[in-house]
Amino acid sequence: MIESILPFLNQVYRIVFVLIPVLVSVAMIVWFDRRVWGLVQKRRGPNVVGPFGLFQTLADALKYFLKEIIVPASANKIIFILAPIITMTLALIAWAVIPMSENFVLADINVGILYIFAISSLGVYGIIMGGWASNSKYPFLGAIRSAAQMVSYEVSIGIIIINVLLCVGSLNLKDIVLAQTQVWFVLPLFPMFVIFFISALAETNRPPFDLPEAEAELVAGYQTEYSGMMYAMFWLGEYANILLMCALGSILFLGGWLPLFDIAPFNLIPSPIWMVLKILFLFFLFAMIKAIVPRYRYDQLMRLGWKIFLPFSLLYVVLTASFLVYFDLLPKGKI
Amino acid sequence: MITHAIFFYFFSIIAIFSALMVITSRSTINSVFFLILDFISVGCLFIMIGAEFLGMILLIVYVGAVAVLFLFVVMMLNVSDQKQSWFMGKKSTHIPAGLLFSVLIFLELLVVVGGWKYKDNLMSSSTLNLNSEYSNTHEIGNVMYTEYFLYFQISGIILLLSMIGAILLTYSKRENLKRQSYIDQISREKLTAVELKEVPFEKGVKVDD
Amino acid sequence: MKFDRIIKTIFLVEFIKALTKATIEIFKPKKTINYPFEKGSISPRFRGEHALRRYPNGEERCIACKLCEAVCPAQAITIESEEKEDGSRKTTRYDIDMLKCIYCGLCQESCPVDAIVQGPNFEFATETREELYYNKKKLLDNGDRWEEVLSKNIKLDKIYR
Repeated sequence: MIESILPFLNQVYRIVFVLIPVLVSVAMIVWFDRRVWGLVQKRRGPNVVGPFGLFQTLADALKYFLKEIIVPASANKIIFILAPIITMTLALIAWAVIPMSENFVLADINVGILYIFAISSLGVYGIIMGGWASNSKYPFLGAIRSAAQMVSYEVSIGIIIINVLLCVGSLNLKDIVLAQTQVWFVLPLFPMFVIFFISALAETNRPPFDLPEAEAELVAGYQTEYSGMMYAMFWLGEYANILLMCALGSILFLGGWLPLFDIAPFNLIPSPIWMVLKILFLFFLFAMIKAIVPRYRYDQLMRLGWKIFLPFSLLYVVLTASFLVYFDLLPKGKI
Repeated sequence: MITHAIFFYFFSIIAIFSALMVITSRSTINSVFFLILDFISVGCLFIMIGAEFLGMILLIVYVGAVAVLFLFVVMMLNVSDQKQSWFMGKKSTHIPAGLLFSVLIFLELLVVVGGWKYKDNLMSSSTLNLNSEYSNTHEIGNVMYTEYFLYFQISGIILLLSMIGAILLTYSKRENLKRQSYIDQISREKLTAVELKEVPFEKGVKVDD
Repeated sequence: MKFDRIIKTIFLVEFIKALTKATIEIFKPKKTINYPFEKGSISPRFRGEHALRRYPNGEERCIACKLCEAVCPAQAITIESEEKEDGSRKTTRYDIDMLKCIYCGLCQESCPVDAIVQGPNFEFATETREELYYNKKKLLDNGDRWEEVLSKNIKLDKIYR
């Protein structure tokens, strides 16, 4: 009996070991985001709770726990309650395939990149369900905007991923990182990195593409009717998604857990720390962009996605493929 | 093996249940959500038989894109609860037609399965030499881009044509319409946008002519 | 579109400029104060929490003339009075509903004996509404606590009256 349960317990232990750091780092990243935003504007940002205000997010979370959950009378109750749960769950389960080092990965599946892509394309449902179920104008407009935006930018992210996959020849995230031992893909595929980064901003509804929750026009978008813990779950899912996009960016372009140079001072640092540093670097850029770039107009956003990013990344796929074929650099893989 | 069976029955029961709910639930929105649940559980079944690529593609294409558009349409059209239902309310006129079509589809399935089972040369799968060394993603790519390359291209072109057709049907060029030029809007610079003018006393200056 | 403009757009020149500028701003000194631990300076005319003052010998200044009650635009002040044994008129009740009060300062200006004043304290948030219905005791307590600052503020402000 014990023998049959042990592997199960082992799995649970490993899941918890991934989940808890992700949740804690989400809390830290929210603090980091607010702090950077404040510092750029020459404010101080949260600095009271705990050392440097590090526990500010935990205090906020505690406050959300204690607040009342209000369900609007005319809302579709089941879908209304389901929406934040779906958002948070989807944002967290995608972390199962993110490799933090060569052996430190929960599920090393063959189609890891497709898994992440599929999960992030499901993420739109939490938002669209929340917006519709609230049965109110602003959430609905926010949800419609957000869904259109996320579906559009998913297309360009998909094509950027094809670029990387052409150079790797595998859908496994570990293989993608190991293929960058010679040179990180950020160098040969730099334009794709920039487009990926901008698309990731749009995909996670971050400024300058935070139109779904543009407070000047839509109150708070799809979150307007939410309160208490349900709002906190939306918010947690959003930041977990941002973190996921940073992790994906560092795996696809910045060489995942690989050190900057493979020489003495650099390769002594353990690989998970390199991964965390790269994620933090990308998140720092996310936070800076929130502070310095004004919000886009919605039609400009759509135009950018469909008329510029999509054709350009398709063109780059052709270029990469022809380059690889001409110089016979195509990854051989197992075939 | 037992866990495998448990998961199989779990997903297949959810798939069948949600497929039933798609056609029986009164609210259109709920129908779409059950359709999504159906897609997801079918995707899980795909993954369970080892076709992880197909399962993921099903999730990305159908759940991530197609079903979102379904939801969009249903939400935007504001389709209220269906007046006609399967069980209650007024008699539906759709039911006989639906039954007719399902009988037809059932017969077609019978033909396909029968032909496959009792007449081996009707449809052969000999071109697929399955080699367990490669992952099925490689295998699909190998077959799709060599054996069935032409069909693949043709289906792509058909999709492109239908897309262009749909755009053409809804696109109408209207006259006398002020259009915005994004390039002009974005490429304004301080030097060209701002002009300092000396204003003569009691005469004023005419701007924006 | 001009050529240099195209180059600027493609290579995100403006964005990189903004990023460097913002990164430099991070390390510059802050323009805000560390509020709960540091506080900004307050004008002597600042209209904060109310206080009832006393004469140096401990006698209440308020003579229950009810000018403040009459002038109060929000009708936040309620006064009841009676005659003392020495023939002077003193209040038996002096209530201010701090939730009604709009902090206009008219009570302070109307007071002939500088009894009711608005002090420099602005941090008197409470957890319940009831705590903000100030009575005479609370106001006199405030007066005793802030007397030093209050008398100094009145002296500083006197030349403008």
